[in-house]
Amino acid sequence: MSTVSATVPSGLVVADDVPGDLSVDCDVVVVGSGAGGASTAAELADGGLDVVVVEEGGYHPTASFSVDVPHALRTLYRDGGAQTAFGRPPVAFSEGRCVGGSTVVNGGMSFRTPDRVLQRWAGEELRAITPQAMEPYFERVERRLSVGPQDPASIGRDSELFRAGAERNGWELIANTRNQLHCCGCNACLWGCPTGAKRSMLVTEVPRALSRGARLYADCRVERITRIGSRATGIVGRFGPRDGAPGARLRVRASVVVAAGGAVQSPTLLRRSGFRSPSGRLGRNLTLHPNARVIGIFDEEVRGWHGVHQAYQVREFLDEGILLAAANLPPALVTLGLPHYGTELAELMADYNRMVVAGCLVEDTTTGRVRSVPGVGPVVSYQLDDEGARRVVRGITLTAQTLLAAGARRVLLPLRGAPEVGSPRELDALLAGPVAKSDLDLFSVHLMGTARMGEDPRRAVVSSFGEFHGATGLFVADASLFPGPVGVNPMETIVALAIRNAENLLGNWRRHAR
Amino acid sequence: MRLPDHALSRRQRRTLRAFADVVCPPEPSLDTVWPALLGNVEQFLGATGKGTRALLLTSFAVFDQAARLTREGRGRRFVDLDRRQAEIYYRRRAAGSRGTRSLLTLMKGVLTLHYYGLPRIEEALGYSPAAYVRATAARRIERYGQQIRLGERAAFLLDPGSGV
Ligand SMILES: Cc1cc2nc3c(=O)[nH]c(=O)nc-3n(C[C@H](O)[C@H](O)[C@H](O)COP(=O)(O)OP(=O)(O)OC[C@H]3O[C@@H](n4cnc5c(N)ncnc54)[C@H](O)[C@@H]3O)c2cc1C
Repeated sequence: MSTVSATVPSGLVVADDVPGDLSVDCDVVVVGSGAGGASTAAELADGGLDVVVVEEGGYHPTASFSVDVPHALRTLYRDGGAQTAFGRPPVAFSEGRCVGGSTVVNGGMSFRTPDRVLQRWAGEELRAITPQAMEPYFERVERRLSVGPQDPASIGRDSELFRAGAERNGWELIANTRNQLHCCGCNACLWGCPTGAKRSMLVTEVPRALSRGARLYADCRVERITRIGSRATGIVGRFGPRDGAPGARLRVRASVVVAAGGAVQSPTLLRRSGFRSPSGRLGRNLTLHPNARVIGIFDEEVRGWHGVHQAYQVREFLDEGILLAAANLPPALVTLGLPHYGTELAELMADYNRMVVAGCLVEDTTTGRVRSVPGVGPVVSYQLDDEGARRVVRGITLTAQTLLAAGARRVLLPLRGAPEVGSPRELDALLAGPVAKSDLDLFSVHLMGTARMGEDPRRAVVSSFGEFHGATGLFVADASLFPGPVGVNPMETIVALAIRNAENLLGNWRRHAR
Repeated sequence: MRLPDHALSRRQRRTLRAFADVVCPPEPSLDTVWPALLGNVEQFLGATGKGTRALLLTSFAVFDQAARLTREGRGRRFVDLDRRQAEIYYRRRAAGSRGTRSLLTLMKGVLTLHYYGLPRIEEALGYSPAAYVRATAARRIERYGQQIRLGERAAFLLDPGSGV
């Protein structure tokens, strides 16, 4: 359905094409092909460097995408989409694992880093990353990824009801900008866009990098970054198993290694490769924008799956660190977290087409940690603090108020043991008392901050250009860089920083080339 | 490259089936969808991380055995309870401590996610995304085909928008 060819592009190697162990040389090897990795690779390849990208996930072209949820969870997401940050309450989280990374499965919302966040970062020794300095990079991202408003015909009834509820409450609401090219609102973003309208890395920066001569090895997990002392010298990876036998080995020798595996995988990879941050902060400072989901059931037929995944955001409470939105989910995912089962579940799900699935996202007021446990892999912990819990409960209340104002007859809250509510009065009565943190049902799709940037090696893991403090030839270029939460969807910030930092690397290439 | 399925033992399958009989809707009869549902669950377990898989499988095993110690079970495993007793056993555990509740929600989620991900069940709810995607995608090309082609090509330019 895309006008782009679905054959494996030249330069892309998948496990089935690899006859045996491989050894290659290049200028820069990039670990991961998501928002940060693909953008870095394209920029560096554009600049004339010989770039190799190594991606653990498989290559799944646009033509292979369908709205088969279990299949998509298995093939496009890490660990079937079922990962957990341990704490009270635990936070379920998901990351993409495929060529294009999480951008292949994300919702396509694309926003600049809010000025107030950049100003906060500037106050934390990131003086060079000001709104003015970032402006040209945001412009470039928005041109490359076709960021813009939705065509009105693509907006569905669930979004319009949510908008009506917010407007009835007199709240500020924005029409989302998204990285899309005439998205038709088929609501399949989270399972791989089947039309190519969502301008994920799979259809933008990955093919751009390949067209500039970059090579991409898919299905290959980087086991470690090789080094001599504190100088990174390349990577060693292994392709996925073939016919039950361990896959072939890939060894890449490079002048520079860029870790872009995302905020959970990158710190773990760096640690197991023996890199230590003088700040002691590698893997710490994790933020994840806790999300909670609220379901409204209406008398009218809504068919939330007709129309774009998410069209509006309520920005009225951004200064309080709370953002609200309606984002449809397929039946399979609606059932997750619900206490209903058996006949009761059947009765509830019979109303699927009358549901509006909405939720709140809150800016973190605490941080978590990613540890690397031998034999297990990354272990993520995150303990919601009192202020974070207060924000979540307020976010849930505001989301429920929006749905009730829009005419929802019943509202289901993400609070263990809570009854449904049918009116603002019932909602107030329910939430008048304290809510135990462990009763909150939370999830996250925005993991950030585990290799925070900053110029002071005693406080930050990498410089503001992503260069690892205390090592040479080693950079980080993904969501790990953030000093703190961005408070809005993070992809555009990640891509803008990646382009900026790659440009700086190109400008200083003579210092790094070997 | 396809990830290997995690083939469950006979005992594990029996526990999952008994659990599904309680948590999945009674209609249509689970017999008619069980092979597809079980296949999806085994593939899912093959795709999850080692830790999650171990947690899930251990939880199902403990849930099965722990029935012996309860009033409903009276020495019998969960898989040996009749439908009504099994339901009571599940309901009581689901109303138990926060930790047990969280685990049960996770275990139930694995089954209901794959149950409601079956095309037949989706259709019964009036959710048929494939046809909708086909129709909207065709409309998109019809309306905007030329602009889309230009936009897609621009992704390969040195600096899209500048024409370079
Ligand atoms: C369901 C979902 C919806 C989202 N919606 C939005 C949205 O609407 N807007 C928005 O701005 N953001 C959204 N996000 C978040 C956004 O997509 C991510 O923040 C962003 O893609 C992260 O970029 P990254 O480069 O850090 O990592 P990723 O994009 O996750 O890429 C990392 C890649 O590295 C690979 N990798 C990791 N370790 C290794 C290794 N050892 N060897 C080889 N490869 C490795 C991974 O397989 C992965 O493909 C969403 C995310 C999800 C999961």
